[in-house]
Amino acid sequence: MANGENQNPNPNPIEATPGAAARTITLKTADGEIFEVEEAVAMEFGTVKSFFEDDAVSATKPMPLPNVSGSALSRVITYCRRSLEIRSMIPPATSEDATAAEAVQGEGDLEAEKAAKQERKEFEAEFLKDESNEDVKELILAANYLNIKELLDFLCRSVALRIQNKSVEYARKFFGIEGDYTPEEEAQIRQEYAWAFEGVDED
Amino acid sequence: MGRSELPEEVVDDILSRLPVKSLKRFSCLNKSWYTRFQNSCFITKHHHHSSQKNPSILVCGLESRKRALSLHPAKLDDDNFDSGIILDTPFFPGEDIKLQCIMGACGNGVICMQACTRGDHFFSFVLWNPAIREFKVVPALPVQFPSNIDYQHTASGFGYDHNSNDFKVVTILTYWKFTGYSLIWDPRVILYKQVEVYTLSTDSWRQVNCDTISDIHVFGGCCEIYLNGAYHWSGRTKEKDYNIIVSFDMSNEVFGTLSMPDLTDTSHFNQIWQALAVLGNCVALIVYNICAPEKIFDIWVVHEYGVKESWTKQYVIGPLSGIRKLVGPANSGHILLLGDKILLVEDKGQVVVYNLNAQQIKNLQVTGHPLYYATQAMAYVESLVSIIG
Repeated sequence: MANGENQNPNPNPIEATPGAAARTITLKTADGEIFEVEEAVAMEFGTVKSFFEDDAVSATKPMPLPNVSGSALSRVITYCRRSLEIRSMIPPATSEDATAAEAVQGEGDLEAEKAAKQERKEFEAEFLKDESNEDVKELILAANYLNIKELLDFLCRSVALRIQNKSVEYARKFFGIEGDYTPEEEAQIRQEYAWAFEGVDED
Repeated sequence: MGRSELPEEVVDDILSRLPVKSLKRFSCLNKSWYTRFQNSCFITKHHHHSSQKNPSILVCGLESRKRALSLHPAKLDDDNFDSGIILDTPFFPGEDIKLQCIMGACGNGVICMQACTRGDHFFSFVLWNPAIREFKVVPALPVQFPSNIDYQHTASGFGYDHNSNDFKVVTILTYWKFTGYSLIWDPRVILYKQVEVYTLSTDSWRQVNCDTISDIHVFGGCCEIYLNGAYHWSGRTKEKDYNIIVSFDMSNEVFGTLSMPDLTDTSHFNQIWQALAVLGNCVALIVYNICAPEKIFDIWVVHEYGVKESWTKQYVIGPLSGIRKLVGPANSGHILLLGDKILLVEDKGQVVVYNLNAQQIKNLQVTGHPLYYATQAMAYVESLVSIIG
């Protein structure tokens, strides 16, 4: 599959299928990098979608993204592109609310859904594996600015998993928050919820 | 790029996905976070995420003849459950009051436990949120019967009133003039009912009308369910002598009845046992032959609540061997349907998880407690919902 690595900040994203003319949208990041992205992928960004729907702007003019860096956008594009691919593995008109007990789908559909779920699981596990907390936060800010719900959900879920067993100091550092309890007040809370401090990861 | 601070909504989103233990620990991060985790909007959002995950199993059992509860969290990666950990239940110091069973877990992280005092006809109740380790002992029933009246604490239920955002316990008492007849099912004995409801906000009991069920025997402790804001028990009509489902709506405090499906084709069973369950947000009825060495479970589901014709026999499970007998309160057989799994508590005290799709049977383990003997299993989702102050 393409674009597993993203160290190259400006990959050529267009994989032309013979004979097909891929419509692309040009994006310009805060640090001046230009990205040409397939329209389908760019339309995953809520911000881009409304920009091109609201303004009858020509799709060839680069859309400025002043709050997103080149490296972040590259990662975001990789995610959205892969996510689209995985979603296309599931045939349409499959209700996502169907419980396993209401097995009204055909065998083939169920298999496809299972395969897609597995792909997504593996892809998501790999995607953030080597990202530092700072990198993840940068991605969150980008996903938030670009209004990409699925990516933002995934990132928030992942951060929750990362920090859930960490200490209070770790959380303070991660969120950039100062404590404002007096040492006595804090000691009191720690005592009241002593059980919540058991088994916490070492910093 | 320098240190990036995340916007409030995103911080909120992340925090609302954390387990309760993490949130209690992070309460001391700073004052605004402490307050945030007690905010009802946050608690609702958190519960929403909590309930999206696979539920845990709460098991009620006995260890060395003492009641114990164990919690089995759902594994993240697959559909199974982690080994259980015994929970601390510090509700009744001393030996006089003993915990009996879980009466209800109404889905928002709060559980009601039933207890009994030696020599007393009335049950006691405790409301409990195990995740935040808060509990409230419900005050005793303010009911007294004269000495020539005998009575029985027949059935109880627990739930949440969504309209008034209040927890309630409902209890059905049956009483009769003590005429010397020892068997209260004797048709010569006139049975009366009294129903009391406890609401957490008033911390008191009050009597409610129960005319609807005056001619119905309600079977308490018999695989009850809580669904759509109503508690449901099995029952039997006195006159026409057929089985029925009795419901109590927690919001408007009204009793109702639901017909059971026509089970005449199961008359070949030696001993039919029924258990109520919830399947896909509908009332389900599991019917099985208690005596058969290989168990077959018929699972009926009513697709339109209240419409007898909409009962459909949706699944037939089995024959399953290796499940000797099912136990539960009042020997009724405890069965829990969870998505594509059935949980059965069998007579060796094992909780058995049967996966409908994989057709596999696994046992729920409790770490380090080989003498643990399960009697009941419930689905459980943790929450921050507070029940005291």
